[in-house]
Amino acid sequence: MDISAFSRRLSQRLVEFTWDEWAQMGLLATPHRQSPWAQDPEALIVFTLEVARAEPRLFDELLDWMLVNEALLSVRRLRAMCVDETDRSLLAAALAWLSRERPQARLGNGAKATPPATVHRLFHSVIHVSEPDEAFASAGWLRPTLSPSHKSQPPDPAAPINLAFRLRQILGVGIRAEVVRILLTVQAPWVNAQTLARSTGYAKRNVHDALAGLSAAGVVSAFTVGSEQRYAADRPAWEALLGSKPDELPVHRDWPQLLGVLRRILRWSEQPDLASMSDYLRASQARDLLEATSSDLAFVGIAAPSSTSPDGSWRDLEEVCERLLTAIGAAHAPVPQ
Amino acid sequence: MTDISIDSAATTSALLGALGEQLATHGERYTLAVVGGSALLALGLVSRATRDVDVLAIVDGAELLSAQPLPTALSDAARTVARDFGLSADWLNPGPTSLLDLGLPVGFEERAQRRGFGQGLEVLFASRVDQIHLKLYATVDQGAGKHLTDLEALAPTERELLDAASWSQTHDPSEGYRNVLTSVLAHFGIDDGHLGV
Repeated sequence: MDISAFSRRLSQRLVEFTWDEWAQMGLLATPHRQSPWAQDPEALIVFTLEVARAEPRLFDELLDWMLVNEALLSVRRLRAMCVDETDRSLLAAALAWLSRERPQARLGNGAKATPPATVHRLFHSVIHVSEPDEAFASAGWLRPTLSPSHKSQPPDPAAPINLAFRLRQILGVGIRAEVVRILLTVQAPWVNAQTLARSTGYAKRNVHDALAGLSAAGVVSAFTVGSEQRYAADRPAWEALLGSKPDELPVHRDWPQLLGVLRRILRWSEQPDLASMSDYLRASQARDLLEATSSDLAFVGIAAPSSTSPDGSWRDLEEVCERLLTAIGAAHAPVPQ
Repeated sequence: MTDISIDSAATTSALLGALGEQLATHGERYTLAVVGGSALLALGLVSRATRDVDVLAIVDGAELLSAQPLPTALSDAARTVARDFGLSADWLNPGPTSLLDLGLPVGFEERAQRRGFGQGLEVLFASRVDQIHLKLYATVDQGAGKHLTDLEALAPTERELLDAASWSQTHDPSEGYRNVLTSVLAHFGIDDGHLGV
């Protein structure tokens, strides 16, 4: 097993995927495809903050995009998408930078945090830092001072990938827009509150309240089967409102889980001490990783295989990774419709 | 969990090596005294398959301590190795540790073969002579089967069997034990006149 080749290949594919997604969402880049799904902006931002550590220009353009489009984002959801301390620390750096560039930004970092004891290099490539960016340093990350490029645009609301933004413009930035996005795109006749809570990143109780309001307004139907409350959107009515042709709404992906697991695999594969480990220990840690992510994998419909040999564990991780990449259209296979 | 057997010195080494790595990863280090089929395999004394590694003792300096129960860090590491290799959860077990209660053959530690398995594990494999002692006792105490087969594979001399018989009677001085011991020795061509009173 060649861990550095695995890590490099995974990083390249995720960087390409991320560029393509953002290019359709207003970031200065040329899209190479039209994604068939509705993207989850906060899940993609937290994902990009890690993936783009291998691609400084993407990282910087993402920050520029956030500065332009911060009114369309939810800081609560950004925080809900974080899966570990590294995510939280990268997000804190991004929010600190936004606060500095636009003191009145909604996405401000809130209370001042205690400066971290250690500072890590933000980018994987060796970059000379003569003038560290103070906002990033305050969150423990070393990088050159960043100034906005002012090249980003608001997302095109007509593009399928940008359904989340369109719904936020209609319903406001909050739980209702997220619930409606899932109900309109999910390939299922109904969804329960628990699934919606995991898909949106909001607490089940808050999802219940939002569904009750949407149901009272007659734009979502609720029905009870056994002890379970199920919900569905009136798609024809929403298609008419959004000006979409029948059955042309974008498709759903469980972005928080898909991108969260991929981020954890990428971060794991980039650990410097992994290369010096024995094949066995590396495979054992691959199994640990599969076990730790098994709940999210099950949620996105990927059963974590369970081989009974160290070599098998490594193959299992590669197989899971390939299935995740296929689900987000970043595998060698064509983009799934 | 499948029921994969340990069938060679290489497999034994791979499993104990994995255990050593898991322990080292968590900053732990143990020295274990191991007996039974896996020890015989590791020393190349027999070639039969076994399902487990029998831990006789946790070695702490010059002391042999009971392995019952296995320390948490050790059992956690063993559970991870079981998962990784598809072994039964109790592949590393303190089954024979009660032998410590009545004493081991004199010189057991000095005769044992020490082997390191990474930074986290050292194993004292019971020597051939001590395995003869333990296998004779097990044959008499638990019945023939694999213990007698192992004892035969060890090709003990008359002197070795008589020393082992003498030691084993310190664990069970009963008349019933002696009767069975006599018949086992007879199987190896030794008459009971050689046994002490």
